[in-house]
Amino acid sequence: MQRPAGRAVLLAALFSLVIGVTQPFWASRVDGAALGRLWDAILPGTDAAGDLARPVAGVLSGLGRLRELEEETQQLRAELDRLRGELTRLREVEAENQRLRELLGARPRNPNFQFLLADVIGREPGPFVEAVIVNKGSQDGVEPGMVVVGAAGLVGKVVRVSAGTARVLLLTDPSSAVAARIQRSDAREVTGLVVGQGQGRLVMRYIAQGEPLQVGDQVVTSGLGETFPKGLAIGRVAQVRRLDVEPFQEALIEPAVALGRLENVLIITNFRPPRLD
Amino acid sequence: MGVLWLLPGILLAAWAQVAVLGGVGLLGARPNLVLLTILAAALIRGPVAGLLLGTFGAALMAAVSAAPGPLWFLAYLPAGLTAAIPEGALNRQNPVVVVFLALGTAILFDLIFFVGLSAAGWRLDIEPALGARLLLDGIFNGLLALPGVWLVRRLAAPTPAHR
Repeated sequence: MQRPAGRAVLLAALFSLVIGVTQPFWASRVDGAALGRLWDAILPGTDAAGDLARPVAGVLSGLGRLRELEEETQQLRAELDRLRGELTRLREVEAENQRLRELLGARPRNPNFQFLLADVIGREPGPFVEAVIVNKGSQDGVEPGMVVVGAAGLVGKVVRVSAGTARVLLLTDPSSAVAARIQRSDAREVTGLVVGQGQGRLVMRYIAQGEPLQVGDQVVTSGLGETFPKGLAIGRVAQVRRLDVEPFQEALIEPAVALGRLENVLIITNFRPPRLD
Repeated sequence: MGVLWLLPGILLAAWAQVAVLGGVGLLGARPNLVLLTILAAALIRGPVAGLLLGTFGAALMAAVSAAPGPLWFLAYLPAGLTAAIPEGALNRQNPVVVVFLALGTAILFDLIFFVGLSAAGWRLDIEPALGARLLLDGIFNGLLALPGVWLVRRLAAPTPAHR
């Protein structure tokens, strides 16, 4: 094969650079019309492939740890019984809360959310970025900024949408930040900012030095800034870092949702962050 | 026209990377199938084919990624350009050379992303571990390129003269 002249290589490199640098300008037109649709067409097939492969992989891994699974089942049954009791108690508390709010004429802080169930059909291909691709897009009413949750708590928010798919930036992405507070039964409000650290890690920063903080404390969204609704579970404190020379203490947070093994998520369609413009 | 035949290949690699390999990793290192495909195309078909394929691959990935689009084009550029290194300076038939090319381009890919994302406002507080992360990613992808050596050996043109 004859190697191409240096000029051809230079032209090809220049072409690539020009296309790349101008990508934000042409992407909204070509991307939405062609490449976005291409991904919409090929990615849903993943879900079917994953559905077929998942049980096989589950059986293979389960065979090696039957005893462990048996113990886990017993623990889960006990946990289920405890949670049923807790649920009954919480229903009572909710009903009481509702009655008191009606008496005071106050608007509920978190109105009933409308959820849209979506399957995770892909993961962010680039390094350092933590995001997933779900099989619901603008044709299902999904918009950028919508909040995404899992069964146990907050997952992230929608950052890009095409007709049939959406990209959800996870809580653990280094560009993600959520105003949070420590959930306590006492009236004391401990607040901070939960930021992503990549590779599945979360840290809560800007917690005042004097605030009591313990391993196992539950962390929920504070609702400040109104980017996320108030009271969504983020995770629990796994480690506290306290240095006398620092003005703030910080805590490592274990996410409530296993973000590395997401299969389904719920998109909250009736909560939108306020526009700042 | 040869590059057109490679488009389904890059599409398949992109699909596999997004849908299948996204959750696969070893100590933070992840397989970069699209990059390796572009590198293989560049070594087999020359730098122009590598660059054009890289541009198509980047457009594909930018459409599905949450990262800024231009980063993908910049990050695939070194892999596309690899074959422009004069034949005398680089023996493409040598497996060690191909493995080190994959290692080098994977490290460059990550480095471009790191700098680009930092410039775009991502708080990448991993500076102390950055070197180790890049090296791991490079070694991982270098080893993944080993099966491709056989392909390059079979398909690459014998002793082409670089003009």
